[in-house]
Amino acid sequence: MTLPRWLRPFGWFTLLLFLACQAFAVLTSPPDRDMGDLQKIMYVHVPAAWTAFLAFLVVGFYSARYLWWGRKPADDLIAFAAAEVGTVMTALTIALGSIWGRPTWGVWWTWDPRLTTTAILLLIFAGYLALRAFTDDDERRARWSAAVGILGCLNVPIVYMSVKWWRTIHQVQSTPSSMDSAYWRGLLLNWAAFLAIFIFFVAVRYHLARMERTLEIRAEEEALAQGAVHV
Amino acid sequence: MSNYGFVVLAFGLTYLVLGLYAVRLFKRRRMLARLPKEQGS
Repeated sequence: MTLPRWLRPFGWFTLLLFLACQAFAVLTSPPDRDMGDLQKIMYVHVPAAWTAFLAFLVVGFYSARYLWWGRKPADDLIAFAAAEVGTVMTALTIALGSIWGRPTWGVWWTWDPRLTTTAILLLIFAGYLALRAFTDDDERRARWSAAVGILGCLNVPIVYMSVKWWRTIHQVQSTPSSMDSAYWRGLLLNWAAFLAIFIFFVAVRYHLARMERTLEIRAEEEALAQGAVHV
Repeated sequence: MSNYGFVVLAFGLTYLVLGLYAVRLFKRRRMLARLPKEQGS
């Protein structure tokens, strides 16, 4: 049981892409008129948030596939891998937002709709991972976590739209028309780098989960065989 | 802390979190790769 051969070169490619995109964005974008150098936090905070959203959409898609199209273990494991990476990205997004918020808003945390819905998203997927850790039966674990995964995925559009639906101090989504190209270019490049990181992490986590599952099945078979011998 | 300090903190935290997660995955891979050999398969 080993990881696919393409993962190692892809991992190195991802690392180099990430470092290059970070350097490009930080070195080429001028300080913002209002925020100064603080604007540069955007190159890690926003891609991390977009990656978290993508991760939970992947969780929702594969969870639905698992529940309604064939109950394939691979679908469950892909959903799990994306959920774990998405949880890391959400925690990172909140922490980075907090670091941005302290000098910009004057507080590390406030119960703003965007921040609160994001925290709820994090709690749902922390619960998803806890549920998987504490459920022994394979089939039940997959079924229950798929239901939680779909529920968590439904929260993504709420988080995304929270800045438009409610009064919030968090800024609305930036677009190429509302942002200078010097910033937009760096943001898109770093989003591409985070996307590569996401693919890499999910692929590695998925293959590890497959290995864990194979070992679990083998252990169960051995236990059953030993039981049969004793009977 | 100056604005520059907050920027360094944010980037440092990003690299730390992503790096630690990558290390965790590869430690797990190493552990799992070792298991079947110990079981003689």
